[in-house]
Amino acid sequence: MKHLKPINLKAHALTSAPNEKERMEVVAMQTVAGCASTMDPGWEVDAFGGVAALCQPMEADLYGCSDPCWWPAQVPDVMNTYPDWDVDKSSAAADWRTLNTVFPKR
Amino acid sequence: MSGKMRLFISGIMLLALSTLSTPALADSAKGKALVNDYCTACHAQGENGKLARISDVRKTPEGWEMTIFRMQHLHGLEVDGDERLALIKYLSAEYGLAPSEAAPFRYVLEQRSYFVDHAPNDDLDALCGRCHTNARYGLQRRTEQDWLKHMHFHVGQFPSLEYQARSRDRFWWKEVTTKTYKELGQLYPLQTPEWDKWKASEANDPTGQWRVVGHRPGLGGYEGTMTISRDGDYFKATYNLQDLNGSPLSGDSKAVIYTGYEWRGSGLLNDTETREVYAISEDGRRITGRWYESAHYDIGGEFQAVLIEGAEAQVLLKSSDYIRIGNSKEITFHGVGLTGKVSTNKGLDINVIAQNDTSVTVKITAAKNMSPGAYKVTVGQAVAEIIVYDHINSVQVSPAWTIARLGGGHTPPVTAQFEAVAYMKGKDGDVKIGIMPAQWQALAFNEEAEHMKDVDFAGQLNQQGQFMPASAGPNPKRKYATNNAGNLKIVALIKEDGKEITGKAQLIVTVQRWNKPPIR
Repeated sequence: MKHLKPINLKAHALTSAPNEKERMEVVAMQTVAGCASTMDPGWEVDAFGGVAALCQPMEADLYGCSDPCWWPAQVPDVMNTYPDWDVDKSSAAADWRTLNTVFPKR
Repeated sequence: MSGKMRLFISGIMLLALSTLSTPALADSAKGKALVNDYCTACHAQGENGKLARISDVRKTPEGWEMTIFRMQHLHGLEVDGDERLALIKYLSAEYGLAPSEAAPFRYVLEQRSYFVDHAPNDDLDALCGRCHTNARYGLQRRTEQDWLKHMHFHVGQFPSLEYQARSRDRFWWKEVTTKTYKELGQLYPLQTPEWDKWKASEANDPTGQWRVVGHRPGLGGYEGTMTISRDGDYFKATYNLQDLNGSPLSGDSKAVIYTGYEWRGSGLLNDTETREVYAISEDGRRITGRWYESAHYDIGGEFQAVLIEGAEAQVLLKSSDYIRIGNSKEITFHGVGLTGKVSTNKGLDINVIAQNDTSVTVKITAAKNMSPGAYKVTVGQAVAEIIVYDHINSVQVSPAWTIARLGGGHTPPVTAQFEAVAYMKGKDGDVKIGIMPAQWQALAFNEEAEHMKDVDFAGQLNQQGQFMPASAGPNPKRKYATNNAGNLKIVALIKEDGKEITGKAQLIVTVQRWNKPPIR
């Protein structure tokens, strides 16, 4: 760790934690924006047939899926197909209830 | 694509394959005229009369619905509801799938949430199945060259698929443009003898009286009659059904028959809005499929109907499939032509309590000295089978693997329904006895699920075997504020003579889908 310099709050909290027990409490959110395109664990079921390795909470990186057209079969891609899907909904974690599904109701 | 591009103002997406619009539609001439009006502006007509792209593809009605949706949404096509329906009807008739071509993939059309489908091979699983069901491409037929254009469409419309897992680890573009399109052209070609034969065949007339039976998972069987009549360009079905406990299940629906056999209805059953996805058999005498609640595709029923006029005597549904040795019980057989003599073989004792053309109720006694096994019961020419069992040897939970989805906001929850199926020992492995009541319990599927307390958060399993998922959204009470997703082991417990026999299934409770086309 001595060659690494913390640059965000979580990293600061980690380096300033006085003991191993408190270090384990520094969890914040499991995943951050970019999880989908970096880890690519799948949308609904992970590579191990469970859900523990998915990007969760899903809302933390929902726009990390829709913006770069990741999993466009499950998430509307705003790159080409549904550019207005998340207009005025800047925070998926706060606004997920107002996001619509796409395709008309059968 | 060539020809003058005709642009229309893109409108709000209209009703899907609904049959609720006004009936000013869809004879073949009108559909053809609409294709000429709306499609040929971009899809040029060749000297042979074929339309660019359109004539190189065959699809289900849902497939054409999705294509027209895309033309509206992305390419400015503007059509009203009646015109859209007429287009789908015409395209499904001219460029549809034969019954045998759609048959392996009906689980997707029927909106079943518990199927597990398999790709023809690992390459197609990686290239297509990683995003779609394998039914998505299995329900399409294209020329080899059109499959190649399909690859170009994908990389143009969804460019970052280049970098996704299972693409970035292979020379995928080279693969799909030199090999995969040819493979799909072989597996799912445009021209097939099945389609040529079906397209040339006479359409069946479904009007008349039908005997109906079905099963609602978790609730049990139902039976009754259906009357189909013409209603302009539609068909009207009037249902007079009841649960096996006698509760009425009645209503009606309005349907369009696409491609001569694909019944798509919208209706009401006990005042609940329903959708129907049925297939009429090639001889026109049987209709099978699934209906579901329009607001909850996960809740519905299996459906089977037999045209009564000219039907052979047959049993279609039993109020119970089994009896235990040493016991007596009443069992009702539902079907058609059930006026014949009731008899059985090898010692089952049967007394007829009530009998008419469509049902027979008997009191059955299985003597203590009988051997376990399948026993035939005949009603005239109709033959049914009753399982006589001594002891339950094992229990299987059906479905063995399924998925539920968290609900909230604009996405309703997707529930899961389990049933416990008992088996007895047979000479060559366990023999199915039938569905039995059970006690239900949800447990953590593995150590990770235990650690994340999935059982506490993912939802509730009731004693009818139905799992209701918890609400969607980040949950601050969970570690990492994660969703109420979970990986659960569903256990059914049946007690017999003080002995406990259990079966288990896996339930994935996962996040909602935001993209919900009719073929996923």
